[in-house]
Amino acid sequence: MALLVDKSPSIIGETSLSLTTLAVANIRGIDYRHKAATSPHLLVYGPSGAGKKTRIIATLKELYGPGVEKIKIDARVFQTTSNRKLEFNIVSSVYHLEITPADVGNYDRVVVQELLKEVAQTQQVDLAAKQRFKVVVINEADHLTRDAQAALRRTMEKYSPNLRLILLANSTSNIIAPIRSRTLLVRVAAPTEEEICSVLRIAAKREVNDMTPIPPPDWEALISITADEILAERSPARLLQVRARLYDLLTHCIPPTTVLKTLTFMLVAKVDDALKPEVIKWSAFYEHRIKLGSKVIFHLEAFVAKFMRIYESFLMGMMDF
Amino acid sequence: MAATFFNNKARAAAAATSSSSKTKAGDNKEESNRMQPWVEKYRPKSLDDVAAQDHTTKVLQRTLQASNLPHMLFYGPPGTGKTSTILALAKSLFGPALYRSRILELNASDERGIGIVRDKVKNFARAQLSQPNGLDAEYRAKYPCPPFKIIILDEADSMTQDAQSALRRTMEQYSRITRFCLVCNYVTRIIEPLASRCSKFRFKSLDNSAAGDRLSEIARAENLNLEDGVVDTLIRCGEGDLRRAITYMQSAARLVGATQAAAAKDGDDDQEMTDAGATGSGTITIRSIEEIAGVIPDNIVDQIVNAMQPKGSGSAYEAVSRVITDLVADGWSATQLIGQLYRRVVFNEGIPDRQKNKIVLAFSEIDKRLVDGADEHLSVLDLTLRIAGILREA
Repeated sequence: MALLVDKSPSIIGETSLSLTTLAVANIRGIDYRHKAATSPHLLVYGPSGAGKKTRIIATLKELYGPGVEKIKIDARVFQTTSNRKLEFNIVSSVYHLEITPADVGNYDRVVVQELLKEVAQTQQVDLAAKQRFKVVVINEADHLTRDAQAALRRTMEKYSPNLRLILLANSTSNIIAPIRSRTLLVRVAAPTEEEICSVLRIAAKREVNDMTPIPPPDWEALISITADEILAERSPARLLQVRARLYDLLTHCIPPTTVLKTLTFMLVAKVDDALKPEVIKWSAFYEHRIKLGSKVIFHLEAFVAKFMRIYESFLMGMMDF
Repeated sequence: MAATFFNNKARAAAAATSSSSKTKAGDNKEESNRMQPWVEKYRPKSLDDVAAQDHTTKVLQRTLQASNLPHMLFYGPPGTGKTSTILALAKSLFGPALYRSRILELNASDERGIGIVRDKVKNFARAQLSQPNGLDAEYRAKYPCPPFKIIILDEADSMTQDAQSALRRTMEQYSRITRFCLVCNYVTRIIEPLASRCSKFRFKSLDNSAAGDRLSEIARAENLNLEDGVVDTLIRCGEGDLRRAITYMQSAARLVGATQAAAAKDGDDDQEMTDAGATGSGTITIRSIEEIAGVIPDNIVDQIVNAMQPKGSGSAYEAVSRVITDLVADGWSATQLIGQLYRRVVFNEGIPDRQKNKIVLAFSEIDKRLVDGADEHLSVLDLTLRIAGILREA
């Protein structure tokens, strides 16, 4: 039995795409299919779950026909200059490759260099193919290191007859300017709540027989409890308890940014208006630290401590935190 | 030979005709041309074609005539023609026959660790010049073919320090037969000993008239209908980066001419190329350019600015957070947002200078955070709330 999510593109295709045409970016994506022969590289960005991948698969199908759906997974081994062996998975069809170079961390440059050149230097073998070029889809392009992005620059220009890149990213902020200026930016907005509801309703009608209410995920419940605890008592002892909860969340692989954001928005909802900007300020500050630092728990705890302090001083009537 | 040697213009013209006749050589070539991005298609063929950068091209023209070249270091922001210039120079120096044997082009997509510098670069630098035999006088009249090789290290600022220091002695030792050309965005990332061995050329951001000329030239060549002011919009969105402006224009051209091309696809392939341009009745509008460039529409920015204005006694939090949440869900890029917001706030005459100072500080901090990869939602929310707070102080 297929997952509902995998069925949903067809549902989306029938309903919301035609109904609301989901922002202009979308239309552009469709236009792109027609004139793909002269198209430059694409950089598709938008929040997660907005339908970037769905759209790309649709584009590929339009380009090459159903052949792109016959995919296989290859495990390739790359060797770095220091003779380290890297195992790397490639999802590929005859016409396209899909890679996630961020998987290999700092060595993504090696993969980008070797793999793309290899693809770029071989011509399309299949004479029946609709397009002369191959498409390489790069997932999580915003997590590529600077080096890997720099490596893409010239490759994109030089081999453009044989190779088209589609980069997928959550935001363009981490993409270096030279890449941005070489690609066509396609923004994919998240669907509105009504659109999500309508798709869910259709899916439910088709597939699900009995409706049971879905409880919120347990980690959200845990963070909610934590937020209440922080508000109820501000003391070192309570900080210790909160730390245990934070550790619990982290050991269950909840990303620290998610923890911090959820906690922040729960706290903000419950404090006085005057305090809200201050809470957001420190939340943003410690989120930045999480990204830069190496030990996540320090920064999460520092945020909690900071919050306790400004909340306490606010209650005592001192506004100079 | 010496007489024609100085006749630079004639040589360039001859080179241009020979290269253009070559492109018409076969359908195959034609097709691959069509698939090319315009950025590649309209890359300058000779030094004269390089837009703006008068100072640099003038100096290079002179060295071209003198047939002597120093080591060179090109630096400047992206899309100002650095790579184009050196490629054009190399082409007009050596011509197609010698190009392969005399030029080594390495860029960040090639492995350029210290091993490669010691090995590949050094071997190429050390190799004796191959005698250009079989070249007739005509060829020699067209291209000066000076007695040295050129190694182009593109995107040199992404080379490691070690690799750069390994170049130092190599550059000097073989300077008799080899010239280096380093191309980079940030001259500060090139180590001092290397920089001091090169004559530096700064490529400045293109001024509007030069970029505009080039854009309208390409538009003419591709038979595009441009709405009034589109060129200005392209320049504004490109922010001095000609390559970006050209990419935008190509994307926009495809957007408006899409239906025609789909219809023509069944027909002759060659016809499609001309058809798409000529009958591409769709006119490129300012709005389509902005949409492609990812520029946030003015009314959304207005909403944010309005939400930040101090209202009554309450904090601006509710209003601001609502707008920002929508904005993030719509997938607008945070860097784009702070860029546009910055222009809006800083050029607003109604805000006193003291407040502007503080606001700019906030911008700087958030920009740094975004570059570090901090969460966009929190960062933008923080920024707007801070600005709102500063505006309230008055």
